[in-house]
Amino acid sequence: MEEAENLTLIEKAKSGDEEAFNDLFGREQKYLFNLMLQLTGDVADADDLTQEAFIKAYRNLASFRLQASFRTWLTRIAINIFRNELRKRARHSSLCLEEIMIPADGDRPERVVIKSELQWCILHNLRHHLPKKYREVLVLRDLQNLSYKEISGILGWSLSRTKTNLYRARQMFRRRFVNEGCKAFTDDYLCICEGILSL
Amino acid sequence: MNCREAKAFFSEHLDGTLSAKSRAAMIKHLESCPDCRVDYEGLMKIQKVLKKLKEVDSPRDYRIAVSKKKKGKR
Repeated sequence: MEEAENLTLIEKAKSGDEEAFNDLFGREQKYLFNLMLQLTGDVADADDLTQEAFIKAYRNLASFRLQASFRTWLTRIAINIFRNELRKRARHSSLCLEEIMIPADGDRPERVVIKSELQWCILHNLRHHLPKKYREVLVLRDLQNLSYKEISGILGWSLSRTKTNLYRARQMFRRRFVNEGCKAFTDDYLCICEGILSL
Repeated sequence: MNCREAKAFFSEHLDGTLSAKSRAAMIKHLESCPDCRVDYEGLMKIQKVLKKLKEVDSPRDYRIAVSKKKKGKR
């Protein structure tokens, strides 16, 4: 969509135009849900946080000053909601499935689920094996294709800090994912889940 | 260029934002340094793996939740 058209839509939505609001928010639903899913690694959490982000965006729409794109603004709201949620849950951190010992005998259904697929492995590694700041920058750059400048604005980092953290995030993810790897999807490597759970 | 300097350019090169001059120096270093080459190729593989993560459809229309809030406000 042309930026000018987008700006018109935002102005209309700000003044209460229902159709403009529906257009504006409608086109960002899939983006925002996927962003939350990649950050949280959990469909139910992503669903809750996406709703929260949309409601907050609606409530604050009047204060949107058009200095950034609507998506960048929405992403900043989403990241803040995600961070708040992590803080709330700090005392109840979820357990990495690799730490759960599952007996090796039989075709237990949980083993089949765990073995499932690359999608799970990526989300699992993002959720359990990357610190928050690295997860955020990796998701925004490599999964959502935002520019360095946009990411700097959203995360409140300088451009140089953004580049450094992105490099570290990629290295950490690579060490975790590739070095120990996922045999089912990259021929050269052994899958962490398969290795530990001996499926 | 040494290994530390070369590694500092890896991410930007992958993102296509590295200047031609830095790119040439980095590639020259990779040609003579097997360790950095392995490191760089690993990062390339990770980008490919991440691109395999498929987008999924959102499970519901969030505008409905927002609309309920709007009505509640009135």
